[in-house]
Amino acid sequence: MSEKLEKKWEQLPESDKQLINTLNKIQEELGYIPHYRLTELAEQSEVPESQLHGLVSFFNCFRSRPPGRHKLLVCYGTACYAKGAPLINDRLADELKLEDNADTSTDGFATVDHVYCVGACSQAPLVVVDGQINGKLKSYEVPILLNKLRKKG
Amino acid sequence: MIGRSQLKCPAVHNYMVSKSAWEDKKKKAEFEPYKPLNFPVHIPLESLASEGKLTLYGSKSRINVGTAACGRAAGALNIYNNLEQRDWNEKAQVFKTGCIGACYAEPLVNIRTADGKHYFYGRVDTNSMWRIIRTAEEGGTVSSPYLWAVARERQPDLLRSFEDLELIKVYNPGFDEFFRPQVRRISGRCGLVDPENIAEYVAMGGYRALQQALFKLSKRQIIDMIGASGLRGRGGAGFPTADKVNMAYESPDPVRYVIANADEGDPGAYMDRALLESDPHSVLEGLIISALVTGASQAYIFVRHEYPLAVQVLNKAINSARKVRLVGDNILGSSFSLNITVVESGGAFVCGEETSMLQVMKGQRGEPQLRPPYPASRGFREHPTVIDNVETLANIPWIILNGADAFRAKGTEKSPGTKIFCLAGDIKRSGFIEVPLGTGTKVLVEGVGGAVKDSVKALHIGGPSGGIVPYRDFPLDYETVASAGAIMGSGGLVPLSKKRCMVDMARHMTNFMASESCGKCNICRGGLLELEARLLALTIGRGYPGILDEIEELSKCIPQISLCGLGKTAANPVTTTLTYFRDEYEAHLKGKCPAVSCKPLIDFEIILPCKECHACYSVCPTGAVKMRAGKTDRLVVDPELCIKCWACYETCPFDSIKICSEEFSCKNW
Repeated sequence: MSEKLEKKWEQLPESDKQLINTLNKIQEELGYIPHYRLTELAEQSEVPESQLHGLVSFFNCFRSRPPGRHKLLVCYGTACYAKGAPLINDRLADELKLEDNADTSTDGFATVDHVYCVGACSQAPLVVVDGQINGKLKSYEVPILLNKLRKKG
Repeated sequence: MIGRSQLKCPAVHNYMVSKSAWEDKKKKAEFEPYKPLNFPVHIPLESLASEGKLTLYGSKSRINVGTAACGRAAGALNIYNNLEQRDWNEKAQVFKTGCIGACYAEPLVNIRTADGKHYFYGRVDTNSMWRIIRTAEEGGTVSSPYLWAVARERQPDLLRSFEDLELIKVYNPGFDEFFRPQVRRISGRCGLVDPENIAEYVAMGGYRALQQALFKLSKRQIIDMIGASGLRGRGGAGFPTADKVNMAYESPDPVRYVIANADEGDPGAYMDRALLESDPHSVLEGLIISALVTGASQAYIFVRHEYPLAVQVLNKAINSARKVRLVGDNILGSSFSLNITVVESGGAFVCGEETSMLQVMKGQRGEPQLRPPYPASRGFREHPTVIDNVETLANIPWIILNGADAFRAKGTEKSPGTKIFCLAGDIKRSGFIEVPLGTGTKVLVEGVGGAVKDSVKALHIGGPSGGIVPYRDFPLDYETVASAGAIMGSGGLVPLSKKRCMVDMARHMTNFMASESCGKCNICRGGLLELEARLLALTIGRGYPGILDEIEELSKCIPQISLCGLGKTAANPVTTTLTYFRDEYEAHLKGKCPAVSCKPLIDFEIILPCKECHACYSVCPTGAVKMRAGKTDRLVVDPELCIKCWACYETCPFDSIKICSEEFSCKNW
């Protein structure tokens, strides 16, 4: 590593020295972490690309493929699971016609993913729709929720 | 650079401190803390406190709307926007606060009128707006189901915590029962203080502990104080906090780090979120004191990705603290400087483990490392690193202000102090509560939670690495919980009713652990998958003779040969359910789910004659609820079409749907 780069690295603000913060920023900006951004980051920080891939694949929230237009996170925390999160998940998969192991509907409308507890267990079971937490959802209310989203586009 | 030759990967040495920085640190450590000559000028606390008092005890009514994540899930932002947009004519002001703890009552609005009375409105919706407006503008109450309690300040214009309030009239008895057994030391400000306003925190007595620690006490005294209080880490393992700090304090290395662990992965526990969203400055204060004692000049807060609001509030809190010189160079005019950086995790349960967290901060996969060396002697960038849970840190200012003896006044001999528990699940009142350690489970579940007697079958303690134990009355402290086969974890407490299948819960936990396993140890990676496959076989009715022995053997050997805490505790839910609820496992072998919750083992039936409201008929997504010709007994469920989505069961207003599960001989497969 050249002296220049080393100096540059030392001058970076402490939060930017954390690769995970940078990855989070990319994910927030684009919704996923494309391969070319990883290559760029690897060149900038002189970290092997394989190590960055390791980080991306290690964490649940990083995606390497583009998500759908809407993001639905079904909470699978203990309280939500006990109060019927699997029912909501199954109904979502049915309504969006998700095939096995696919998380995004074929028309790119929505992505369904699991999250392990968002910390609002009193409102269980809950679904995070585009960052908004919807609490006390029943499985038969899922079509209504999806219709609302479809109207938004 | 230090140790460059031994390290092959350039990424690792990038993160290490250069030789010049090392020399600087050495020099800085020689300086003695000094008390500035013009002491009051350097301390902005007094002016901040008077600024905070203006909004806290102003002549205008103060309306607090609880907009933490739980409040937002219940629609508190709508309430806030409605109230905020109103023209109050200088009579009231609306604030966004955190959660008071009674999450079940969200959206919760708390009005403080100018005469020092607090009105609590629970489960607020748009219908209750005019009552809130009337109370805020004119004082007094309008009888309504929304008004839950009225409290007043014990001393007028003194509100440092929830303990300073006394309930004078209770309209909703549950609200009183929820708060009565609680001792709110560290969560007392939650829901009363505006989390984004540092002045209010200071007005409520905040940052006084830091002032004392900086100018009145020596580092040794603070460590002894924490040691005498017997404070144990609240993250789960219960390691004495003072020992950790002491190890780093006595280290010859001049560069030290402090990390606040807010990577709270336990599903069902959210005390860290609650503290960070409702009272972030108490955590910051604890972190600053911890850094001061350790001798660190750089602190990190490792926070979970799933709490976007907490990250946002935390960043704002750090910025506002930096503005008034409580973070940054020369804190409060002393020679102590500290920089705080927020690191956002990407969502991995194992990163709550300290060595794994350090790996991620080094830019590598979060695989746990062997201990020792403990991070307190050799951690982040090879320097001594003190890692404390958020709740532990919030305890430190309290201990400094009130002393070790006052801290020991609550709790048990071995586990002193209070602990925040998160109640969720099959109870009436859920939320986060703070009780002395050693409080009985009966008080929590039936008293605070309001569960009907005998309705609770089991208690799930400590998240997926905890255990599921049958519900009975036992004290909640580190030792008793461990002897029951569970761990305290970070304090999640989920009572489970008779409708919850223990085998399925154990399978869910194992599934979670298997997917969160980092993959370093073979037994944890592969063994947990095997274990889950066997539990899954039971829940879908494909059990075979000898499967229980296999499950038992696997659940015994996984903890024995795993490296980190995740593997060592991963089988806890299975071992505890297998010990206490073996009859359920045996019933599953025969194809019966006693709790009627495993989909392939159950059937839906309509109890005839029913009221024929046709709610089930219209809600069924597959047309499995059929109508027969005739005049009575017309509705019937077709088991071939039924996908067991529970929609009919949940909609039926007369409880006429029965779920049954029978042993194999009665089934047609």
